[in-house]
Amino acid sequence: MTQVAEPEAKRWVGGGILRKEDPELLTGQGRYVDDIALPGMLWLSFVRSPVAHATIANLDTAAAKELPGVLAVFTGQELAEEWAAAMPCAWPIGNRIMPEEPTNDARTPDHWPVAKGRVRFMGEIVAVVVADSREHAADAIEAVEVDYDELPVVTDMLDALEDGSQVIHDSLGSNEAYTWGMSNGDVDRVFAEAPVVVKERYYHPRLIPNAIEPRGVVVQPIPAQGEFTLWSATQIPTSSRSCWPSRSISTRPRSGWSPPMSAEGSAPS
Amino acid sequence: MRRIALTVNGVRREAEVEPRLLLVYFLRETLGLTGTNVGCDTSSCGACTVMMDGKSVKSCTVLAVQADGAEITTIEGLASDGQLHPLQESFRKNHGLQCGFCTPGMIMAGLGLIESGAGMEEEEVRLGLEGNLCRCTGYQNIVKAIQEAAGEMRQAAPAAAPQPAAVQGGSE
Repeated sequence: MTQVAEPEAKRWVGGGILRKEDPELLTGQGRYVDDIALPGMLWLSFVRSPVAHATIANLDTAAAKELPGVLAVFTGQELAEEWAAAMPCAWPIGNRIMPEEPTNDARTPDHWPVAKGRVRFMGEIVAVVVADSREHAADAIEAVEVDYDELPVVTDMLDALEDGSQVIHDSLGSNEAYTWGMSNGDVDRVFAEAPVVVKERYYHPRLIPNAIEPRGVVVQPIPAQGEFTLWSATQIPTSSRSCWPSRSISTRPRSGWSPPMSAEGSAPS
Repeated sequence: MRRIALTVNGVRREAEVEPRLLLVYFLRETLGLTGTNVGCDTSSCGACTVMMDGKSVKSCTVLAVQADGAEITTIEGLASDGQLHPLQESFRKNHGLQCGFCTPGMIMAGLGLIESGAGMEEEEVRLGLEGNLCRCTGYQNIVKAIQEAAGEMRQAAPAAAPQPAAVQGGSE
């Protein structure tokens, strides 16, 4: 039998190529957001709601402000005047994901960085502590006192659409975010001509991205330039950037700092 | 504040620390050894695993003052003279990592397992790694990498070879 030289392509396709980024990751030289330490860096910690739906009856930050190392404690009401608008939705259904099949009825409720008077999901931020160390920031959130008047909760998608269901965002009048119909080709004809038609209702689970690297953000203000540099443990740096005020952000991908690595995934978008 | 003295990657280090300071933050923030990562702060994920006096420990669950007098090895202490440690080389060759965040802990847990003399059958390695999470879903190649490195390391140093193969239930 004639010996055939192995095709050149085998070196790459199916060839088990060693990754260029591995040596630094294997030797502890990886650089993640938590590895960034800046001179004078301050730490934020967040008081989060333990209940899914409630009005905030009382929110007392006085004791927390007295603790060592605490520079400030803010509630949503106190910060409200600083915010020009609610946070943008990074993935509005329709116009970005499926440009050919937009939904015209998509409704996005206002989403504020810190709750203003009412919490609408468990874990919603109700107060922010600024402190000079991780430990002082963690201590101070324990000293913030919050009283919640609990409201009815909605934990099932279909129940949420029932008449009389507790409406979570009053301004929308109902809990329906949108109806998103998708089709491709002549669907009616295909069903009409199909030898068997199976009808079923499918449920999609809630998606919870849960990378091992905790969520983290480091921000370095550069007041003289009216800019800031932001390092974020995100898989989607460019999408994230489009959500920030574009004139006031500088990501400086290769000058000074390298962009941190991200454990969230390996395909920045 | 308490004064502690310990050896980290062969270098003697002394410092005044708060009694509540965790070993992982002593390594990361006092010594600047940021290769050891914090994934959960609750002993669940194992990203912070280091070697302490020859055993793998989760450094988020050890106080710095408890490490007084100890010998610590972190991921930064494995490679020498520009040569990767056999475990690092094996992780690289077997593609035992993607994002790299769990990797330092996986390697140190693997080192603890190999040095404990535990059996290296696939099931035994998997059980030995039960305290370490990978969120890129790479266990297959991590297990392969540790098995391969174990073969190489035990061949090179037969003195450290198997004691009765009690299966270790994860790093301590």
